[in-house]
Amino acid sequence: MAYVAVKGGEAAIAAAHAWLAECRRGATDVPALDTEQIMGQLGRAVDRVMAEGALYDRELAARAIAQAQGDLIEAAFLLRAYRTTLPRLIDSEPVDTGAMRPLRRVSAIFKDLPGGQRLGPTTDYTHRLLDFTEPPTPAATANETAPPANQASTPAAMPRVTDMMGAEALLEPDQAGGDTPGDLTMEPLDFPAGRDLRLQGLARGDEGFLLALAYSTQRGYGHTHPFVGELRVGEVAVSIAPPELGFAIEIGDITLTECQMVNQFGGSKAAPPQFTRGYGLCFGHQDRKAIAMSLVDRSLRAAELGEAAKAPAQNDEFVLSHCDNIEATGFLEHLKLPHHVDFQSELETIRKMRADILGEAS
Amino acid sequence: MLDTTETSFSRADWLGILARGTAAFITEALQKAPALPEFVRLRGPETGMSMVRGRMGGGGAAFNLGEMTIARCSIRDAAGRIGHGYAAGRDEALVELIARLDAVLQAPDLYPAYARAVLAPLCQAEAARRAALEARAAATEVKFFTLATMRS
Amino acid sequence: MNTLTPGFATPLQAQACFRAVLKAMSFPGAPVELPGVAEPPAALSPAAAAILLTLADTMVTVSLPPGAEGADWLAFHTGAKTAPAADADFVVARARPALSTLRLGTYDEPEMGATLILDVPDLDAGPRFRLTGPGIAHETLRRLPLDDQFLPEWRALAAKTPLGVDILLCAGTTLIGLPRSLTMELL
Repeated sequence: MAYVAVKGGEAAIAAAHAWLAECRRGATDVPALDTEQIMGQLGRAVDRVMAEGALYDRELAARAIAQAQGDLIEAAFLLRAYRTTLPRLIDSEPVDTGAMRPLRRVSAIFKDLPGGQRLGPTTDYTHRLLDFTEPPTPAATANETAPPANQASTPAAMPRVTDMMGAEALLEPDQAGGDTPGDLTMEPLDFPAGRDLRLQGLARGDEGFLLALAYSTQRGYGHTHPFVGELRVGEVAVSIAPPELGFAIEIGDITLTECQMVNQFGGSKAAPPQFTRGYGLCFGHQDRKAIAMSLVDRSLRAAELGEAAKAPAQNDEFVLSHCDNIEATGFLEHLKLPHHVDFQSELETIRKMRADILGEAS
Repeated sequence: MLDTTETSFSRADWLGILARGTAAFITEALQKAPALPEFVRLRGPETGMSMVRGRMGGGGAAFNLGEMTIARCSIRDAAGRIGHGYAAGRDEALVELIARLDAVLQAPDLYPAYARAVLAPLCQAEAARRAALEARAAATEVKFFTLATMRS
Repeated sequence: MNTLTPGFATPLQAQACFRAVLKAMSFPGAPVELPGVAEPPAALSPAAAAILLTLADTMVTVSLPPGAEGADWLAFHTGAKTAPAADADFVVARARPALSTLRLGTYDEPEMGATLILDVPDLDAGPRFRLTGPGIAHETLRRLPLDDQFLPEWRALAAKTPLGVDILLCAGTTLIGLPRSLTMELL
């Protein structure tokens, strides 16, 4: 396909950008959005943009959402573009989700868990009725209702459900560590892809696409018969070990959602049956994304677990080549760009073909 | 988090405490401490990224989850001490303050004044924040009870 | 690690240095000035230090002259790791290593050939050469501080095009680029 440079349109583009800026701002007698409002009141959009932009920075994501007028894929694109201006300084130590301070922690498989189940600020039990009331006045400030600072601030121990089941060997264990994990931001993805690269791809994958793939596994496209072993949402400390210090230090906290999916048991003549697992981990508070990711992760492990891989969600090339929405929309939206010359040749070909056919008929 | 009654934090501890601060909070807190020495920048302050790693299944092999913004700064102060500062996010003023504090906190005779003025209030603020979140979360704990069956 | 010294004061210096290296490689044999580094470690000339600050990062390996404390400085400012000269992406030397002992790249990835940063006392010394090839309009005649063994080694590598090694000659804050595409003859 030949690309031909087309001149002209500069004035049109300038006018378009000016109009875009006005649309973005909206009516000037209405207050402008600021990033504090977006971070504070559209937190779930911020979480999604951070995950799909693959860059954890709430303020940058909020800024991108405002600039994109709420188009979240466009916002993720802005974040990815900004990312290219930042140097990669150091990799973190692997986060310890076992040490998470969960705002939310639920399990579908066990009722009584050490540390209890806590709902967190969930929409699960709302009635999904559109709320027409004015925003409520803020409750008493946190300082008035919080317990004194010198009370124990760490929650009761919350061991992972998977560790509890693993202790009885009912559940396949975590896969042991190897060398440095692969990084698909540095090397082009090749197939079959290792689970480290698959998880990285899924973590930044489009929520809608993963949701659909996960749903397809539930409808029979690849059997999984899954249960949510545990879903956790909360802050986790991030540590780095700078060479100039020679030891690890914490640099802050990020919010993560983690889903442990427990699936049908495998087993063979050699090994007794064990439940198999899927794992989801993503930035921010995103139940749907983490659960979907864990189902697709399990599904992509088909070959490793000796299952026939026939369904789309079991096909790593299909899933990973199409789950990055910036990559996908880049190619999709390029169709809008001028293809005048190519189409000219298509027109000529089809006219000639029609003339030949219709000419013969007469 | 650390007990605020501790008298002496390790360097790893104080860097973690400072990283949770803000430039405004620390500048304010420094009003109650001796002025920090003059300094020369060795590197930064600069913004970049760290690739956050997770573990498969929560405890298995590492994988790359996604990047986060971080800022860092390294200085040498007038007494020749080298200080390093790092924090999540893009606040270059914050990490320069952290580096300057890291330098003086390494001196045993200077440590107490800065620990009292800066580290202690930062610890308390962070502990209060976490306690408040934990209180809200604990209030959403589900108290399961078994319903009596209809037939009994 | 009390020997740490500052690197570039601003990103503008890194940009200027990048431009200088680009110019040196694009117009081989022509001296280019670049912003040096105020306090480079003893092992490196200001030009070599500036080139490393500009081009090295966590993704590349560097071989430094033996006995140098520059490894800490390099790691601190760029994140680059050191490697033996036979394996490194960038080789910094005062004594010229035999070119065939450095990485030459592969036919699939000829760009993986090493870049040799050769620190010399004076760029206007040594035998006179005629330089021709890409980036030179007709010919350039000049002295280059290269030993007797250099030209046979350079010609041997040229026979393996596109494999090879690219050279940056540094003295003080001046730089001359000798990309592998350059043809050299003794006058």
